Amino acid sequence: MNNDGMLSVRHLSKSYTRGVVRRQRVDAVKDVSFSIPAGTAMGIAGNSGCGKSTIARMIMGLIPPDDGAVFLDGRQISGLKAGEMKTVRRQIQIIFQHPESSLDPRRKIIESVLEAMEIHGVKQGRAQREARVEELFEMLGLHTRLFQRYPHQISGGEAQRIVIARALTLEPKVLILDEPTSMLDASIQAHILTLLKTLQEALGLTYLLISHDLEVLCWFCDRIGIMTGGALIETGTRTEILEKPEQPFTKKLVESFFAF
Amino acid sequence: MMKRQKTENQIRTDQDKIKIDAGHVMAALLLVFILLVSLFAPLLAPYDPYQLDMRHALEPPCAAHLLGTDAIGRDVLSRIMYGGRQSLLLAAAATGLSMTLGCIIGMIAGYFGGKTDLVITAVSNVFQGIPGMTMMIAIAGLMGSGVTSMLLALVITSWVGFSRLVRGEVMKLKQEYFVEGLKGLGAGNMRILLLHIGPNLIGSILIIFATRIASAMLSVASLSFLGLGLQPPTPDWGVMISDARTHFRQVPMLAIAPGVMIVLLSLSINILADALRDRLDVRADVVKGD
Ligand SMILES: Nc1ncnc2c1ncn2[C@@H]1O[C@H](COP(=O)(O)OP(=O)(O)OP(=O)(O)O)[C@@H](O)[C@H]1O
Ligand SMILES: [Mg+2]
Repeated sequence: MNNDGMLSVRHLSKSYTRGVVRRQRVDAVKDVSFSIPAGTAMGIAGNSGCGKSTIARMIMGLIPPDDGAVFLDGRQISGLKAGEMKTVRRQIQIIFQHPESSLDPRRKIIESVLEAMEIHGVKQGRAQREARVEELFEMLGLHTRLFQRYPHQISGGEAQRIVIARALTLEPKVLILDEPTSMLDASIQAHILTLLKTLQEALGLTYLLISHDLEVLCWFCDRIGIMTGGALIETGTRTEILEKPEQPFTKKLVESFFAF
Repeated sequence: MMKRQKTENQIRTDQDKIKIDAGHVMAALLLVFILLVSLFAPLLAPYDPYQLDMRHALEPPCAAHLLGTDAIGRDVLSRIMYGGRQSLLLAAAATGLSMTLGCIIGMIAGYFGGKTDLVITAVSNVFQGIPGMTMMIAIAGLMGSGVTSMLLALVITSWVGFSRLVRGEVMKLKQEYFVEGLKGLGAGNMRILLLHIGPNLIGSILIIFATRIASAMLSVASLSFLGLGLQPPTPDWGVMISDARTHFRQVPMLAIAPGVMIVLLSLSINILADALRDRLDVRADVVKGD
């Protein structure tokens, strides 16, 4: 395991304590290491509660890891000070599972999208920024009439594409997608994943796609990691995972998805 | 802003959950009426509220004095018209200050959590435990009676109401995905608190602002009645009831008129606060998509 990929994590661990009276320790993530080469997509599959989102949050610096480190393009980004982290945030962006609640309910769509550029001082002036948003909306098949709407007035699929557009205004190198389509129905899911694939080729993005759906991962990703109980037990290419899984858990997971 | 208004109206008609309630309209009209009369008292009042006239003391209601005169011949109607000005202003100022203080403290506690929150919660519990009126009397006793000590007493006893609510709401909002999303974008705490969490709190803050202003009115009146707040000869409803004690049996109007005003005012504010709550709750549901 090396950290020369675009994004790599080494020995990441995180545990939570739960309960007030009887304190219980939950090892959400246990010693996870992987590395994603630039321009490729890595997938992480695993059942609910196995620690996938916790990894994503640690990579984003939203929660501090108990142990281990995160590297972006060879540079350690975990444990940075707030000011330094801000510049990192431009290069690595995350899309969450819940499109409807990913936008401030009291703000118009356009304001929410522009905010990313305002925070980082990308482009000068509102007109230029809006022009950029229009470009991205066009690319994602979104109508600009959505600009003046509020989050409760758009569909889940639209919301998710809007969040993707907002992330892209910062021209990130890495996108972390934490179950980006699991709340959407099948046809929209396929549409958004295809869009993301196109974007990857057009912009040379590096992806970390988190999903419990092995089928989606196999189609989308170059490499796939299998997680259970906080540990990354196996990683391999799609053929390796599908055809010669090493771990019994992986075998069971594959069978459950591709049982005939 | 216009656009937003329109969408809210659409939602309301869609849902048809809210009907215009005659009681709410009456309360609103009454409140507006009292506020207007208080505001324009100098133009509307038939007499100077301080003007004594011993020859016409303790007169029952008559054509010259519609509500009669008090023990030293001052026109009761004129004093009633003036009588809400100071207590309303005081109640508004005290509630405004409490709100500002409570919001700041509640936001810090709710957003940052951890030790900060523990300390703030412990302090709030102490303040919460003090019976409001006792505290006010104690402060008035210590600092002497007057406007400043009354203001201080009101703020000290009511900021906790705001900070508790704000803390709870902020803790809820903090869990929302959009807040995590903003952090992921690189937004700082100040931006998140002031531009995103703050505006999402306005509805709930308004509701308790309205209820608190009504109870602050009552507190001002009670303190003035006890001689700890506004002082005679100020034309004030609380002071007027206090003054009326000696002659209440001969001329009941002296106590009834200011008493009715206090009841009407706090009643109308409370009814409107309830109406506001219903309205905002419905919208909160719609916004969240439940
Ligand atoms: N803030 C927290 N406090 C305590 N325990 C937590 C916290 N966040 C997550 N956990 C626990 O850590 C474990 C991993 O959670 P995580 O959200 O990473 O799972 P996940 O793989 O993303 O699941 P899902 O597929 O349902 O999204 C779970 O057991 C969860 O209950
Ligand atoms: Mg998750």
